[in-house]
Amino acid sequence: MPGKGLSAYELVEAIHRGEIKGLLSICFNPIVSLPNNNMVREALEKLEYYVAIDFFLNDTARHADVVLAGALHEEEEGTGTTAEGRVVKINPVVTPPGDARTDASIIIELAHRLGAGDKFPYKKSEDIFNELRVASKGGTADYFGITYEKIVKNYGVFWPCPSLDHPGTPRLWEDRKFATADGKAHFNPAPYRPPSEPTDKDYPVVLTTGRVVSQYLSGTQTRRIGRLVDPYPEPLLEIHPSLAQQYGIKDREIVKVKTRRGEAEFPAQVVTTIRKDTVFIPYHWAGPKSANQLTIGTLDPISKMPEFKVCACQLIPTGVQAPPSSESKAYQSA
Amino acid sequence: MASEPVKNFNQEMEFFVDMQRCIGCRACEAACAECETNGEEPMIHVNYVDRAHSVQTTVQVCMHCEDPACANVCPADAIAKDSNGVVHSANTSLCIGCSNCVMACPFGVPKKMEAAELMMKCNLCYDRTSIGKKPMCATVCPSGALYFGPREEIQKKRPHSTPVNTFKFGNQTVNTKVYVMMPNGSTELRVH
Ligand code: SF4
Ligand code: SF4
Repeated sequence: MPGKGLSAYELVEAIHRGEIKGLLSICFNPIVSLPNNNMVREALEKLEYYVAIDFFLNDTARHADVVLAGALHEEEEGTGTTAEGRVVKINPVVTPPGDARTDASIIIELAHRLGAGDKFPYKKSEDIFNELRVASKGGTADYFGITYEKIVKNYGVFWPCPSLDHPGTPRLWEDRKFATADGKAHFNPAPYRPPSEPTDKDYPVVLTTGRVVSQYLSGTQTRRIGRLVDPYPEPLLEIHPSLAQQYGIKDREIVKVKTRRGEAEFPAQVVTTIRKDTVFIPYHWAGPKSANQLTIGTLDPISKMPEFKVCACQLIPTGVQAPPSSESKAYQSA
Repeated sequence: MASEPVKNFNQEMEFFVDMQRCIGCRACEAACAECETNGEEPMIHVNYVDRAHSVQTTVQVCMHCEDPACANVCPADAIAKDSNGVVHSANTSLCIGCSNCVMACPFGVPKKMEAAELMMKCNLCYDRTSIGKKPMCATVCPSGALYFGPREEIQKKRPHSTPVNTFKFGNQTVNTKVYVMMPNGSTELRVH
């Protein structure tokens, strides 16, 4: 297996520092999905060459030199591994439209054109899977004993599956042998670490971000589907009535939210379902509606997950009532 | 108006709606909208109960009333109840889009589809239930808010709830083919 690379946010920071000059990305929309995205935009503008592969033109791809049309899950053959560790087969039901191609075929052709074709000798998706089997042999998630044939026959095989005659492991640790020095299960208490940006008198309110049920990730797919846009067409600022009253904020009044990294305006949604010291904004939208203009780029030292859930902000009521939610603007990105 | 009962409609299979179990995923709306007979519009509706104070959602299907107000107020006789007790969506060749049914239904079910100039509502997936299949929404609901099956089974699964199909709207009593699950001991649901 190749060694660890940089996590997504660290990679963008390295671009910003000028250490990385070229980028090839697949289904990557950091201008919506990463925190502190004013920095992300600056980084993208510094890239000397950027190739974006995605099945729809996402907001980040606007910064690319070349955009290559990739394929959806429904157009590709391969495997997926579910959250329970079950490796399942994925079969194409339709072919990619127009000049769009499967991501693997794009990568293989690029490799050939760049003179590295010998390292990408794959004829079919199974050849790639077989390489993963060998690469993961002996590891925690051992795929060696999993073959396409076995997956199809058993409706999925669970890792670890170390040998061809191994049935797979639907439940881990049933043998009560744990991968620790003494073979026992360990509880790992996580020491509390305060957020990197506590509230203070200039930025007195906690800002937390997250999702709404009708949108998915950076919205590349779901902001294009009317029925998913209708239930929640634009990001709202959830605020508790007592905090709203303190600032004189009324329901659907436009509020400017400001942090040390950026500012943006959102209509208020006054609800008692949120803490009195915290406001919430969902992050699925791009451009002026993007909540990640405000969030902080501090990473968890182990998981490298950014602190999307807590930073300090200021609320500035504008006194202007927002017009009714408009679905037509949902895909607007700049 | 009642036609011969469709033989394959399994009267043992009944519809039980357990509104407090709804998690607002809208899978039911998506499944309903897959159907071409609805013009790809959902005929089931998920709403917040009171978003200012709760994230609880609730789900509304046509209750298939014994004496359907929607059909009673229809000036064009476009809405018919069949002998299986299913109240059908407006007959498209008769419906004049007057919206009387929209106003009359005590459960807020029929919706006027402005683009089509027609009323459209849930018909209990008649194309499916008439051949012994479950309505689409009940096949996808992950939380058991929508359950279509034998009564004994739901009673076994939900020992603390009882199915109720009598609703009191002021002095008006409405009995329905579809049940809602209520705490044990309940016999009717009163709306004040
Ligand atoms: S619930 Fe409404 S639409 Fe359904 S049968 Fe009763 S009155 Fe008609
Ligand atoms: S599928 Fe079930 S849980 Fe989801 S919205 Fe519909 S009724 Fe509620």
